[in-house]
Amino acid sequence: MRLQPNEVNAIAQAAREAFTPGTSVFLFGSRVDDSKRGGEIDLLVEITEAMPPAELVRRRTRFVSRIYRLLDEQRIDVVIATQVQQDSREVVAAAKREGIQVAQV
Amino acid sequence: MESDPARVRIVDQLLFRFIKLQDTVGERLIPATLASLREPFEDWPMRDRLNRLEKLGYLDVDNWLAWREVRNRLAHEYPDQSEVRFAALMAAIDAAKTLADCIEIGAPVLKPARSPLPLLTTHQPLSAVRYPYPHL
Repeated sequence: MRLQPNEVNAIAQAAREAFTPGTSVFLFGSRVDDSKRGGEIDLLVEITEAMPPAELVRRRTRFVSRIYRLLDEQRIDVVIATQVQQDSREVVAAAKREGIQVAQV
Repeated sequence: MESDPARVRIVDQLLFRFIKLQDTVGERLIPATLASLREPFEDWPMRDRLNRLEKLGYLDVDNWLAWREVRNRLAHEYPDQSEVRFAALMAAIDAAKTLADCIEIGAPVLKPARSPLPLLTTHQPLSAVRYPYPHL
């Protein structure tokens, strides 16, 4: 996994400020591959239950902008899925397959 | 909605204008405001510029970073469900209203000095904000 300890801490702190207890955050994409360099930070946020779209967007904005504040602005791609519900998106399936947990609220 | 070219065009325009508005504030209004305050900002990184303007009461850094997230989200294709994409679009429209308000607040400082200005917050009722871009 290619994240510095301060980056993991920032993601965990931002997750605590943006999401409710029970939420998990996983790193996926090129940053889980130690042989690569650079690239954006892909995060899967697993929430315990579905929420209205407007609230989801609001929490996602809070999460990413908190990371901006702690780590400076950079490319961060966040996908949000619920733990129980089936999600047909390919990116969610891939993220769940290869994801490494980096935070637990 | 994808099947209606006229609506797709309107939404595309909206996204484009929001991204443009956000970029313009960052690239032009912020330097112009700091210049008119005679701040030696040229070599400062963006974060220092934002912090200075926050200290002087012209913007709220958390709001700014939230607008950046909204902007960046719009600028890239994400595999979101359509109702989430719609909610993101609505959030951008809300943000644009507050951002446009920021331009109005910043504008007086480009003229002769005024008294310190109140902090911007995204929590003010949007009905209270005059939106100066009716063509959007």
